[in-house]
Amino acid sequence: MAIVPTGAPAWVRTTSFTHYGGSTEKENYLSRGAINALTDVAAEEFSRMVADLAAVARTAPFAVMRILCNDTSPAAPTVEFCSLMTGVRLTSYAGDAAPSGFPSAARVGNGIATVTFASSYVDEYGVSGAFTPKTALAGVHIGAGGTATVVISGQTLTIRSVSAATGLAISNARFTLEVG
Amino acid sequence: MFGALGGVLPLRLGGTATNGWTAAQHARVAADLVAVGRTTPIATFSFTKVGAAVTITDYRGRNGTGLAYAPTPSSIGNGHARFTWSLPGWENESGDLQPVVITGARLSAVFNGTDHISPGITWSGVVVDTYTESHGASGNGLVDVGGTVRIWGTVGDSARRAIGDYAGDPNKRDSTTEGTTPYADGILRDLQAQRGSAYSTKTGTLVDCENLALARFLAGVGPRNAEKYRANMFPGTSDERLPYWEKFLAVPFAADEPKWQRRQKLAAHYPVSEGPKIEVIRARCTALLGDVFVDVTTSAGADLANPPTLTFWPGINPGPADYDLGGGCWASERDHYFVQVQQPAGMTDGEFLQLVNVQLFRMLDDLLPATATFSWGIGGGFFLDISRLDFTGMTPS
Repeated sequence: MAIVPTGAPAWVRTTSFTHYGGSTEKENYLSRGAINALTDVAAEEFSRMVADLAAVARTAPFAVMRILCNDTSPAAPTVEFCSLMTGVRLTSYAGDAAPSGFPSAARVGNGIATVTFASSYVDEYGVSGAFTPKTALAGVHIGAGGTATVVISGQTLTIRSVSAATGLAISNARFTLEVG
Repeated sequence: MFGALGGVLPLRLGGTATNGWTAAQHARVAADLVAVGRTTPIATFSFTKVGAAVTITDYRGRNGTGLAYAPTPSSIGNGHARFTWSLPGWENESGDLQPVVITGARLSAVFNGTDHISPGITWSGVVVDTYTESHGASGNGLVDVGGTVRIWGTVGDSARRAIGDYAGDPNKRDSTTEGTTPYADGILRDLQAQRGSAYSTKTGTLVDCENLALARFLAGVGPRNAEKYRANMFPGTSDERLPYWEKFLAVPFAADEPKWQRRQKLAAHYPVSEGPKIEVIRARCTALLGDVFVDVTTSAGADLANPPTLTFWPGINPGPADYDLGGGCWASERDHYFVQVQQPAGMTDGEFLQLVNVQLFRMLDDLLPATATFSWGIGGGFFLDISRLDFTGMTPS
């Protein structure tokens, strides 16, 4: 029978150090430290590990993506790179033909794209966890002043890349998006 | 590991993919945890701003998830919001206050019509200020829009985190004694056999619980104790006996130094020398200094028939009389070892200097022959000690 991990996957943001086996009362059996320091993990070291893991699990982004808008010949944006907590996609894909488990992307207008996430994702053990984008940061790749702004609406994010010089949308913009 | 028999701390590394945790797997966890800990933000939150009303809508920090852990938002003016944590530190799981140092921050603003929004962010202590300025159809100037703030920094001593804090060690290996089967397993089988068929061996029965408890206890006070005594006989595997080894090997340590660091230093000082060969010197320096070590170099060639100028060898090659140190001193720039080091991010000056000025000095002093000299430095550069610059340029005339 396959094991079921305690707690929920990291992106649900409810995991605490206790889900990793931590306890403020944790102690070595019979109060004895490492039997052999080169083969053992003592309670103190284990406690540091689970506390730090809980800390980074709370703040780590769920997704980091690099996206290219296709405005010259209008088409769905290209997701050039996508790193999710559930897996990494190093080869690019068309936003309207997203591989299973990866977010889709659509073109709204010049320099404007939407990215849509599923409402839940599954971890390595088959445990499903709900996901709702709550935080998002975007940075436009441009050799001059420019900004990418993001609006979160449910499972969909709208990213607009704007030139500082003209105040207009940047055609064929490329941006990095970080979602938590 | 063997469930209730072996699943107690300290964990003994070993076993199989389905019932154990091997040293190699543990090493990967330790290394990756250090890696993500270095780059993961310490807090991320989203906010809205409408006039004087600034509202945090979501907060995730290393201190916790939810608005209870979030800073207090306030409006300073149009397009200018402030976020203030009430304390200069965050509480950890044990309720201890850990100082927070913000080292980086980023703001991404939400879309505001057709304008271009320039986001700005500053911080001082644990107070973060955000600015959102509009350029476009509605004119230029600060405007109220929300956004997402991401903060990087350190919490407590997080910047100094190393694999040793998670029991990581380059020499970590599976336990040869309990990695596959814990001691208590054999004792449990013995107890069951001794008690005979009149007593149940079924899991979960009262007799089984009693046998388990007895087996674990006997394993703890018997073979585990014996193994612990054996491990304490060597500094590299020692635990309770570290103070003894520090005294025996005359290796000083700082009061707040973690056990794994003390063990690492002692293990580097302990081996019987294989002689001051350059390979041995490199290996010993690597073991002692870890990330601090870069390289060991010598500088004056290997032509034995023609020693470099600054070679003082009484009777054979006296060296320049002007620079003679007197007293029949033996020394040569060829016999000088330069240890190139670096100070890793997160290591304090005190820790670094203790390592290179005390630990490294003592080890090389023991390892190298009396004629050899040594020094350490950061970067390639030039060194003084045995050089014309040192003898002439740095000597009062």
